[in-house]
Amino acid sequence: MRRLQDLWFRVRSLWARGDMERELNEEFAFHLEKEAEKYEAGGLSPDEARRRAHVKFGGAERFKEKARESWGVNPITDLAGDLRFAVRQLRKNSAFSILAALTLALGIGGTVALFSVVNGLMIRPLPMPDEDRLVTFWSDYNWRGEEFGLIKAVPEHFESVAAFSNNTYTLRTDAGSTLVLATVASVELFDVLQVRPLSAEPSSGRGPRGRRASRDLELLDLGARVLFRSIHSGAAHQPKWCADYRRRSHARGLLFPDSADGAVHAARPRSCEQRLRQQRMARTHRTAR
Amino acid sequence: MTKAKTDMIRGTLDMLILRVVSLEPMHGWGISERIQQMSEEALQVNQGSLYASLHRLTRQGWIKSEWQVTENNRRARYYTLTRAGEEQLGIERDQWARLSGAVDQIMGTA
Repeated sequence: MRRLQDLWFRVRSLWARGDMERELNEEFAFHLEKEAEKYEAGGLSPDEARRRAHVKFGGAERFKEKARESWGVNPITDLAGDLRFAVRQLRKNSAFSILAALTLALGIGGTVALFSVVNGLMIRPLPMPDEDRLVTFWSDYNWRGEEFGLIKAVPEHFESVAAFSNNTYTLRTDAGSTLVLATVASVELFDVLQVRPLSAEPSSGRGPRGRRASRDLELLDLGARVLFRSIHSGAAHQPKWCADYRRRSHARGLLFPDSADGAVHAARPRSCEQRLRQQRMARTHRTAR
Repeated sequence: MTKAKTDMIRGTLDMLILRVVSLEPMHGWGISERIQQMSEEALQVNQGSLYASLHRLTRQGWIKSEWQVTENNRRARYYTLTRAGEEQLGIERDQWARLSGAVDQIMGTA
């Protein structure tokens, strides 16, 4: 109940500020009159009595300010005053204000953009089990079927290996055509990612653009990347191990014979769409075979 | 006016106002007069603090105010003690009794 009273008083001080001020003035005026009457009754002339009352009362403005303080809304009215002052100043120097606002906007926008990239690439983990064992190989050239077959044949490093390719296809329906982003992948992809598809029906029929997409070799012709699940946990964090593997691949003389410039990258994918982004950012050119 | 004026101890004005208003509804000037009268002119009420106190006490819900017409047909704001104010007056009275009793014992003025 008392809380309510307090709130009501403060709300009234803000909304009916004029009434509150008028009442305050009236209260003070009444006080002065009564004080003057007292002096008059003591034998003073009306003018002298009023003068004495004023002297005794003292600085009315200072006292009014004290009374206003007791209304408990000064922080709010001060803030409102400061805001009004700020707006006035900003409007006075509009060119400067616009410049300041633009600077802030650019700064905030840049920071947000940079953070979302850092967050996507480095902070947010992949939504898959043991994501630190997932590694992609990529290059600017398509993988050859033999290369993929070779990697699959080295079981001491890979728990599972899959090839995938992201492409845009035209989806024709009765309503018309639309572009869709699709991933064509070898059937091992779900083993590598250790996720279960909502509907697991590997296509053995004709894939997009009339190609047979279920066979690894044809898939690789589409420009596939190879994703594998390492048997070493934390493989994605060990560039040394990746380099080592690459050297051994070279030694066999089958994989990327001339890629001494580090053209084949072992990298840590973050997610399907981020992987694409990563490729764009980190792509280096493979020397000609 | 030969009597020594005693400065109001901080925080006691609120208690004195509650006490005076508990006697009968009164306007600001009346309250200050009554405090001076009851203390036999020993206590002088600072008018500025008086109205700040009155408004604060109203906000806290211990007194309530109402505009009324005086005997001389003038409008004045009258303050009345509320139920919560009565309780508060009791609490402050007890606190004051304890405090002044303790000070008296130390000063040997009891």
